[in-house]
Amino acid sequence: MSWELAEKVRARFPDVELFPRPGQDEPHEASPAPVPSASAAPSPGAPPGEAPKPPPRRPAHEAPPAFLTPGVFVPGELLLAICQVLAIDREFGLHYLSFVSAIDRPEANQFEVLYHLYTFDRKDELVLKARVPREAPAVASVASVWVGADWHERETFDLFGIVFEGHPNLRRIMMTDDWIGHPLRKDYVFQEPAWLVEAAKQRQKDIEGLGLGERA
Amino acid sequence: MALRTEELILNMGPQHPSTHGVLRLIVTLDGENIVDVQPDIGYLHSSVEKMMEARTYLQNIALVDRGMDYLSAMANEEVWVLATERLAKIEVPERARYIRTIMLELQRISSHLIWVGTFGIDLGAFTAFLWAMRERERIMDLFESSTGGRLHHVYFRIGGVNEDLPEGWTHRCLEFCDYFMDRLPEYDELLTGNPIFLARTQGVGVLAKERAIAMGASGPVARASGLDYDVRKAHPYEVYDRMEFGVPVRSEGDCFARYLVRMEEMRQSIRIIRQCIEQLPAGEIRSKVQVALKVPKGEVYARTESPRGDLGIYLVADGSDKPYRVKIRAPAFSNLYALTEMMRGWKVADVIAILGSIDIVLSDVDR
Amino acid sequence: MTQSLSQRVVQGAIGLVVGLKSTLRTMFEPKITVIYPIQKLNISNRWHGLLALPIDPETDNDKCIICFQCERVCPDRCIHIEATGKGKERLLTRFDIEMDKCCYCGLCVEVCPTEAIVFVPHYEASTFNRANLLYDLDDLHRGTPKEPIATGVVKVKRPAPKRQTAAPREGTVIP
Repeated sequence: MSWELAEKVRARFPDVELFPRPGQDEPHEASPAPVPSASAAPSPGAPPGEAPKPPPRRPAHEAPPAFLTPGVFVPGELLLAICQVLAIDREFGLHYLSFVSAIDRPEANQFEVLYHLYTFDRKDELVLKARVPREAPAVASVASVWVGADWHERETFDLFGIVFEGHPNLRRIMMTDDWIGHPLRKDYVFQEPAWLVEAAKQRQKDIEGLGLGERA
Repeated sequence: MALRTEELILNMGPQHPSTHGVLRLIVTLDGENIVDVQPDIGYLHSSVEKMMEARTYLQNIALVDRGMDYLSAMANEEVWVLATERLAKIEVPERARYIRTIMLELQRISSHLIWVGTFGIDLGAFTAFLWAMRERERIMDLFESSTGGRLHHVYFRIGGVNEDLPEGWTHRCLEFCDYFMDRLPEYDELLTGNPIFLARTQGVGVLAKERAIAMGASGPVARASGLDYDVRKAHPYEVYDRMEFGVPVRSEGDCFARYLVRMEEMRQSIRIIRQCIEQLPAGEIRSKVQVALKVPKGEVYARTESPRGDLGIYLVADGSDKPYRVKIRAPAFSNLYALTEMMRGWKVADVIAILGSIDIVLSDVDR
Repeated sequence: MTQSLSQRVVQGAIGLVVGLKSTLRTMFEPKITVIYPIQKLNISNRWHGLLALPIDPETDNDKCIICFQCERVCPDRCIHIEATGKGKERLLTRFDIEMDKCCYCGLCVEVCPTEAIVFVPHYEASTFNRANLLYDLDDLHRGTPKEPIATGVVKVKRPAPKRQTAAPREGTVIP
């Protein structure tokens, strides 16, 4: 779990932006020696270096977020081009896509589309994040690069409403086809479907007076 | 004279005894040959990820037990507490880490036993199911005496485990190990050398290594296709880095290879359990963590090797006592996607064998 | 098929004999089936069964100090507590557990500072009427299922587990 891979991606594509790291205020300036991450897991591949400086003690809600898994922010329009290189190029060898998902950030008015990639050659991982606006969210599909992205993108479309352009079969996978809304958005309010309300009312009528289901 | 043929669409499920839950397979047939399979999932979708956002870190342990893969509840607890501990930088006492490893391996055996049993039923061998349940009952008793639950344990805690092992538990566990190693050859007699079983599984449902990687398969399914990858070896968690164990890998990629991989994994699990009990240190089992734990802001991806494959949680914390966003990377979800590849070109009678061989739990697929 | 018919017949016969050998051996082993409602298995004393508020013999009342910790920690929010009075005069007026919502996770038992709420080794809470799954203060003091369904001769089949390190939950009101 070293940041080596993320640094390499940044060296290859200047447009990407590294996740902010503890002890580094300037994430844009790629440091010459990669700082070992504060991950709890032992990383045999990580070069022995100085321990990261302990961050100053601050209340939990004020401290900057700690990204323990290395990753980069990718501009949405470059995503497909970068993924094609990452999956095929021997330098990266990220053949395995663990999942595709998203994070809703209503305060920034955007979604962060999340990709987790893995390489078996050096046993390292990389997270890609593409920021898309909350209104009309759309990003290029990577199903042509990793076949397994098919269902993961369908799931993300279903639960977040993010449109993956160029996806072969983009329709709901978890919810029913006539479902209204996208449940994992932060502003989603659950509404009983009309047929369910009807069915429940009918059931109430049927069992009335039978003494079933009523609280004593 | 060319025969005019027509494709037939066969609807299998959602309620079907061999779909192991509520799964609908839309099978396109050309005569007896499978042209295409489209699994239709979502019948068990409970939006666990959304529910977790409304519960505290401690309460979520009870939720991941039943919201995800219910046949290996403690594997789910493990990945959840692992993610939280990494982000909150909580140390786990040595003894608790050993206990967790023992429990995880017992859970792996019990989950694989269910699979052997149901796979046998799918192929018409009912005896294997009864035997597997008999062995599993011993594990359930071990679980019950230490955790209090048989399926849903809520045993792991952030920073340790709930209660120490009861007196004599390790002795009983070792007894079980001996008993189980005696019983395993019987399964070889019953299934491995069974000509009917071989005919139904050998060479059926082949998944090539490259396709397994591309489709995101993991766990025994990928290992049966020749992918030498196990999270316990690649990214050791708990005390797996101190254990000696082998990772069975087969190159055939068929149903029989998946069966052999799982059978060998159970043997290796017994090895790990014996080593753990031998090295089990005394001491604390739980470090002090407050009930309403506030996890500092940050993001982490924790991964474990669940009985079904590479189980991961991407946790986004915002500094409050509830997680901001949890993404569960379910192994069965990706393995089920690989099903479309495995089934193409086989006969309709092989649907059951191939579906059974990937060991899906629909609660894990749909979450 | 490269094998001849006779070879296959012999192979099949061997498979049959091997399979039957294991079956035969199992036939002569002691039976492990338990005829459930008549016989029951011993359950461990950590069993996550029904919840109860045991009566403390010293005070002749439960040990609840009305700290609301269990109500707060419950993931399913199935515990409802109400109290009147102030300070030492505080009196528990309502302690309801909706057993149909309960997920038997044991977090309430864990956080309770006075061990006022405990698990009892009962599990047969099923009922024909859903209303019977609301356990109020009286039911929790009694600590048994409201509608005991499976009644019969309780015959212990397995040897009782050895004494366990964790103190068995004393004060449970099991007859």
